[in-house]
Amino acid sequence: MGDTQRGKPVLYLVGVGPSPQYMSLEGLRAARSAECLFGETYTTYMPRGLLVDVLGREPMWLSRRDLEDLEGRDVIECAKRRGSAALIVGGDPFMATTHAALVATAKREGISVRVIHGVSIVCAALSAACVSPYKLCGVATVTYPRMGVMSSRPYDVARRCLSEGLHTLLLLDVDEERGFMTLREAIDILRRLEEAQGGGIFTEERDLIVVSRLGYGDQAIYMGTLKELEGVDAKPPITLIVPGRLNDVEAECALYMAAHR
Amino acid sequence: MSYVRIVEKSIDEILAIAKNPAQVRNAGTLAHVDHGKTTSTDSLLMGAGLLSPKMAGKALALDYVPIEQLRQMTVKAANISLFFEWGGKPYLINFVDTPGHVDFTGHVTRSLRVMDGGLIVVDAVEGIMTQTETVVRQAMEELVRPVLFVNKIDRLIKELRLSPQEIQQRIVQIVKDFNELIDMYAPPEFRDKWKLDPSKGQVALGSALHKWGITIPIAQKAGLKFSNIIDAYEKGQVEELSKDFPLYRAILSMIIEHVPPPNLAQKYRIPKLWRGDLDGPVGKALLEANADGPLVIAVSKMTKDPHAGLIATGRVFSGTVHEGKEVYIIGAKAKKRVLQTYIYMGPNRAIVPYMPAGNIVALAGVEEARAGDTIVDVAVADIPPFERLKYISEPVVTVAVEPKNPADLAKLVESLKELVVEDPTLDVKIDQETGQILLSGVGTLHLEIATWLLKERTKLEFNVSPPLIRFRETVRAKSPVYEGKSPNKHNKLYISVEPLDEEAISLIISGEVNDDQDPRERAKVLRERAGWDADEARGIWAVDETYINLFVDRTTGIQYLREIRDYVVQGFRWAMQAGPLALEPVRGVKVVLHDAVVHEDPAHRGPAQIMPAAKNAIYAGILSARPTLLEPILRLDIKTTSEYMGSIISVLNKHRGRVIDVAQAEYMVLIRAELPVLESFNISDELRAAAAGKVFWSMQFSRWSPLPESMLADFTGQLRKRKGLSPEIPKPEDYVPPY
Repeated sequence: MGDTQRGKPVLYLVGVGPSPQYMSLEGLRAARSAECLFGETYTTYMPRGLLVDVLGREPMWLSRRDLEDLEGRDVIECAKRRGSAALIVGGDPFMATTHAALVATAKREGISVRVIHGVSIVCAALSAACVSPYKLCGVATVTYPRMGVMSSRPYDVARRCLSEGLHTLLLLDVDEERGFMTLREAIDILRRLEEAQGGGIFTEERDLIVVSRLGYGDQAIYMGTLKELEGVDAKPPITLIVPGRLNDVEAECALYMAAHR
Repeated sequence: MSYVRIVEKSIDEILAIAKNPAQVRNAGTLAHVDHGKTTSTDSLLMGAGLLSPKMAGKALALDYVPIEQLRQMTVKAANISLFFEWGGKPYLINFVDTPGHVDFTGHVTRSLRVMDGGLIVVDAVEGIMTQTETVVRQAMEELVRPVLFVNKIDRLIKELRLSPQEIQQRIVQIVKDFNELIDMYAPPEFRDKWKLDPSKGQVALGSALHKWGITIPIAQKAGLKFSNIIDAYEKGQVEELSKDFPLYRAILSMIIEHVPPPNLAQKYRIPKLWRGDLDGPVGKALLEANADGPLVIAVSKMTKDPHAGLIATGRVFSGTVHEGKEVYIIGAKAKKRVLQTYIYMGPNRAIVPYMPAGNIVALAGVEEARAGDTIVDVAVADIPPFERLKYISEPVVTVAVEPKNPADLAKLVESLKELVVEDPTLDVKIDQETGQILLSGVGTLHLEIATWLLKERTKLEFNVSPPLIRFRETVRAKSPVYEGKSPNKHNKLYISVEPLDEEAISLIISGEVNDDQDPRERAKVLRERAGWDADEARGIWAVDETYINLFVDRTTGIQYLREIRDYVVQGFRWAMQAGPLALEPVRGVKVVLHDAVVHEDPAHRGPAQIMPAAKNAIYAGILSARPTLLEPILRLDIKTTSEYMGSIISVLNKHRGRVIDVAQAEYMVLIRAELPVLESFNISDELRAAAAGKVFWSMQFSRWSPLPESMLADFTGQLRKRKGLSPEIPKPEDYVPPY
């Protein structure tokens, strides 16, 4: 995607993928050549030091406030003034809604946008667990209750997907104070949702796949029932898969992935 | 002749009486400041043997803190339980003292809930004043039966030198004025029953200072005439008068005979005060004040005790409370165990093993409770609470409190929060931008006392800024619908604002429309009383009772709107706390949600996204709906002599005052007027100067009124500058940018 034109200022949105080692050659080129380099780490897990080593230069780090409340003003201004800017983000750029809004702003200001893809957790988690992407039905975040409200969205999505025998990908929340949601916290929330909804979705016998620290040396996959997984010491960041009906090949492959973590 | 004999009794003996409602009375004093409430109460304490006779009239037994002695008035409602024998029968009188100063009307209201009878004290010279009217009105709302004590008869004799006939006329006039108030404010079924008849002993006359008092039956029985009283003063025999006709006897006989016992009072008060099922077991026990029924206590006050922590004072309306009892605090939604039960004896609490229905009790161990809360037996935790207490006054004056040593900040804030627990008419806020601690109250005196208490308790050094007046922001037109966007731009709320109708405003102020009401019941009240559209009334999401605003949802079928509802409401409250004109609270605004776009995933529609979306759209709406500032207006009753009337009125005119009416009383002219708080800071000196000191007055908060249009722009600019904002008023577009 992109519509770069000669002479027009350009904004590169560079997806790093799950860890700094996944950075593409194209991404590296953009990051190194851009007049101003920005980075944000609030939408995903990203060790800054490692990223700086890979990039060979230190980006200016942006907060959620910089990108949302202030609408990425610094990024836009720099692209306009100096001709090119790159924003380094974890995963794949448009998987976090923030960056979509930034594109709209850039377009209005006459800036070309070029997106350099990184490996997204949505794709990599399925691949890591060896479940079929053709059967992915929905993605939802398991969120911390905020001001006492616990969203039923993950429950609703899983219920709909399971009814068709399809897979659900559950992302886990990240909070400014609490950090990354742990497996134990996620299981607790799923149980509370089950208690509130009573639809037999997140029962103690529900099979789940846990993808832990994808893209890092200590990456691990666990498979088991909700009850079995409760005691597992899986390190964050974590992604959950609620598998639908697995066909024989899928099941065999998934079991292999989980066993050989 | 039957008379009151005073004896000291042990706790056991008192409890034996407390168990029999026919021998219990719950009453309290209600009066205008300086009409002698505290000295009257003192006289009762003296009678009970709790104070030495020499001290009464000098030491103010119910005043806990020295500043109050200085100011000759009580600030906090205090409770005391007194023991009396009357006609050979022992009685327990639970006596609630209430503050007379107008700044503390909130305390008065809370005290009223726990009493069945009110002793209204009126100064014989000054007669019925505005505040007397206020407390009578409040007493009627809570179905508290009044009896009257006309105090300071000594002033009629010594200062005004009235003849016996003139004294009689004066008293007849006061009783007549008083009965007119009953006519005006009493519910129809009590209008005639509760009018006072001096010949039936429903009015006491006397001098709290000189400790004597009579009722007509007492005087008639003893053959005492007004001429005898005048003689006693002329011959210096006042002490004999107080021995033969002690004030406590007059007042207590009046209370015992004319204030109903709790079991009778609860029969007509409960249907008004409690909204639960009157035919159910709890309802029946409440109506009968049944000590064996389920426990129900109405909390009137929370006080901080250095040793026992927060102490709740309230009335047991049903059941019996005892140490170790498991209770549920309805407002705080907390299950607790009562650690200790107490009875009040003067300023001290005495531990009692239990306290039965119909009495006033103090409890330790229920720290989560707040004044106005309801404490019940855990077995009946789901009953409706008592109606919320209504506060007539509002915090309108603010001071900034700053510790001299920044390290004391946290300690100071903690103590201030405790003060607010004890006195909900205070309000503490921390300014997020400046870090200032802002304390608001209903008047300058109120804040002086609060900061004094703070100093006493914390022993910390701190500065207090000169008082700043609080304003309100409101709208005078309907705004267009604005699109409020979340910071990530993926959530959109479509909101408009408009003026809230006067009927709805008064229903919120009176508590008849409130935040935790059943939505159908609320819709019914608004439809019937304020002519609201049924659909709109059912869509109310939030009632802002603090600043008087409403949030209405008019959307249909939006997915996941339910999950962001609380965030939208928080955004609404945020906007109402500090409006867009000058960050002053918003008042009298109806906010309507017409439509919404909600992101599918909860990670992208949390409070950090939704609250600003709501606030920004509300701000834009207010700014486009002819916004204005409301200033607080005081009601003034000024008494002076006719020769100074002209100069007093010209002082008022100079300060944007408005004369409501002028009445010629016997010796004085009564000017009733309104004056903006903004203009009131030096008014005392100016009034005194204008009348050569021959003037006295009372003030109380009256209403909010739009600032004159000619002052609006300049004044808003100044207010903004003082808060460190740019003086220009923002535009709607600043909050709803086109993208």
